[in-house]
Amino acid sequence: MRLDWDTLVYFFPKLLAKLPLTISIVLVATVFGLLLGLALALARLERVPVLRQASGVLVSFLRGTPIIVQMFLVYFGLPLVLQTVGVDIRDWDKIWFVYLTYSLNAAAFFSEILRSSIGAVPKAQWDAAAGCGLTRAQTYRRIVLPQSVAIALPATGMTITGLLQDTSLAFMLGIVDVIGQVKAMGSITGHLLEGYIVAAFFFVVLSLLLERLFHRAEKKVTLRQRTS
Amino acid sequence: MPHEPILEVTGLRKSFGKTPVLTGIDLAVQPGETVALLGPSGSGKTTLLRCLNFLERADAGTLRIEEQRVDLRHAHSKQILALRRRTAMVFQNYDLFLNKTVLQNVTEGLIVARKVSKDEAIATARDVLSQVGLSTRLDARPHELSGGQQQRVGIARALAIKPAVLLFDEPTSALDPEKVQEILDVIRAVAQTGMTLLIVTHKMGFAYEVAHRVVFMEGGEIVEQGTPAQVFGAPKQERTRQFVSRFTEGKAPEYFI
Ligand SMILES: Nc1ncnc2c1ncn2[C@@H]1O[C@H](COP(=O)(O)OP(=O)(O)O)[C@@H](O)[C@H]1O
Ligand SMILES: [Mg+2]
Repeated sequence: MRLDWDTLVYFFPKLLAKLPLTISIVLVATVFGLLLGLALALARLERVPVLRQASGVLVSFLRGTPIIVQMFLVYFGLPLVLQTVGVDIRDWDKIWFVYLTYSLNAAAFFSEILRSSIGAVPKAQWDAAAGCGLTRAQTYRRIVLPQSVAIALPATGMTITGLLQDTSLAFMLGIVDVIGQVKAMGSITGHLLEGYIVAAFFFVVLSLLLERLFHRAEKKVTLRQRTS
Repeated sequence: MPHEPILEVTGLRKSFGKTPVLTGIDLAVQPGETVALLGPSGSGKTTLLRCLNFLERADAGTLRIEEQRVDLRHAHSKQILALRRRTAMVFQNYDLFLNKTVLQNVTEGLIVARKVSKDEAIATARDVLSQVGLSTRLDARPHELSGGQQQRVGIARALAIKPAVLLFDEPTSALDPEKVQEILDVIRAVAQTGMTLLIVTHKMGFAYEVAHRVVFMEGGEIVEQGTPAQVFGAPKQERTRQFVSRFTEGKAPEYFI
C-alpha cells in the first residue's frame, strides 16, 4: 500500500462535508448529557428515594460497558421494549439512536463529574446561603452550581474530548459520519489509509480546539472566583 | 428590662451521635439587647447559634423569634425558612459567596429570598456597606479582599436583611490581630443602632464594654449570666471565676483585652 497524495486531496472535502454530523453527535450528547447528568447527580445528592438507586445502577452500567454495546442495545433493544407499550420506533433514522446512546453515555460521566464537583463546594457556602434565607433550590441555582461549574470544567473538557473520539464507533450502526465516510470511500476506491490520515487530522484539530476552548474558560472562571 | 423578649429559646438539647453537646439551654434576648456568649472552646456556643437558625437540627426545645414560635425538633421546612428570615448570621470564616461580588453578596438575600426589587436591593446594599466602612471595591470578588474587608461584607450581608436578631460566631477570630479592633468597632457601631445582637466572642474587653448581658457557657449548659460587671467583677460560680480569671489575671475589668 502506497500513500497517494492525490487521494488525500480528493478525500479531504468529502470527509470535511461529514464533519458537521460528527460534531452534531458531540454537541447533542454534550447538551443532553449535561442535563440528564445533572438530574442523575441530583437524584443521588438529594437522596431522592427510588430515583437515587435507579441513578446509581444506570450510571454504573453506562460507565461499565463499552459504548458499542450500549449502541446496539439501544438500537435493537429499545424498539422491542417500546413495542410492548405500543410505540413503534423501528423506522426512525439511525442517527437518533446514535444521539440517544451518546447522550446517555455522556450523562453517566457528566453525572459523576457534577456529583463530585457539587460535593467539592464548601459546606459553609450552603450555610451562608441558608443564613440569608435562600431555599435549597435557590442555593443550588445561584451559589452551588455556578461554583461547581468552575470545579467541573477541566474534567468536562476531557470527557467531551473523549466523546469526540468515541464517535468513531457510530459507523458501526451504518452512520456515515467522518469515519463512516472513510470506510465507504475506502471500499469504493481501495484507499483506506488516506482516509484515516485525513480523519486523524480532523480529530486532532477538533481536540486541540476543544482544549483551547476549555483552557480559556477555566482561566476566565478562576479569575472570577477562586475557591478559597 | 420590661419588654417581651424578641428571642426566646427553651429546653434546647442537641447531641452529635451519642455525645451531648447542649444539655438544656434556656435563653431570652430582649429587643435592642447585645448579649455576649462566652465559654471555653467546645462548650457548644457555635452549635447553639447554629440551632437557632436551623443550620443544625436540635433534638428538643422550642424557639420563638418575634411572634413566630417553632418546635426546634419538628419544625418543617416552611417554618424553618420563615424563621431563618428573621435572623442573620456572621460567620467566623466570613463565608462570603465565592462566585459573587461584594455588592452581589449583600443583595443576594434581598433579591432572591425577600423578593426585593433589584434597584432597591442595590440601594440597601450600598447603604449597609457604607455603614460597615466599605464604599469602594463593590465589584471585587471575595478572594480579592483582605480578611477584615471580607468580614465587613459578611456583616453588611447580615445587616441588609434587617433581621430581628443578628447572630455572630466569633467574628474576629480568623482575622489578623491588627484587623480585630476595626471589626469590633464596626460591631459596636451596629450594637449602638439598637439592633439585637447575640455574639459569641473571646474578646472579653469587647464583651465587657459593649454587651448589656454576658452569658457564660460550659459543657453544653449556661453556667451563669448577668451584666458584664457582675460576671466579670463578681462571678457567682467557681467555673465562671476560673474562666474569667484566665483573661483578667488580676486586672480590673476595664483594662483587659
Ligand atoms: N458536626 C458535628 N459533629 C460532631 N460533633 C460536633 C459537630 N459540631 C460540633 N461538635 C462537637 O460539639 C461540641 C461543641 O462544639 P461547638 O459548638 O463548636 O463549641 P464552641 O463553639 O463553643 O467551641 C464539641 O465537642 C464539638 O467537637
Ligand atoms: Mg465555636
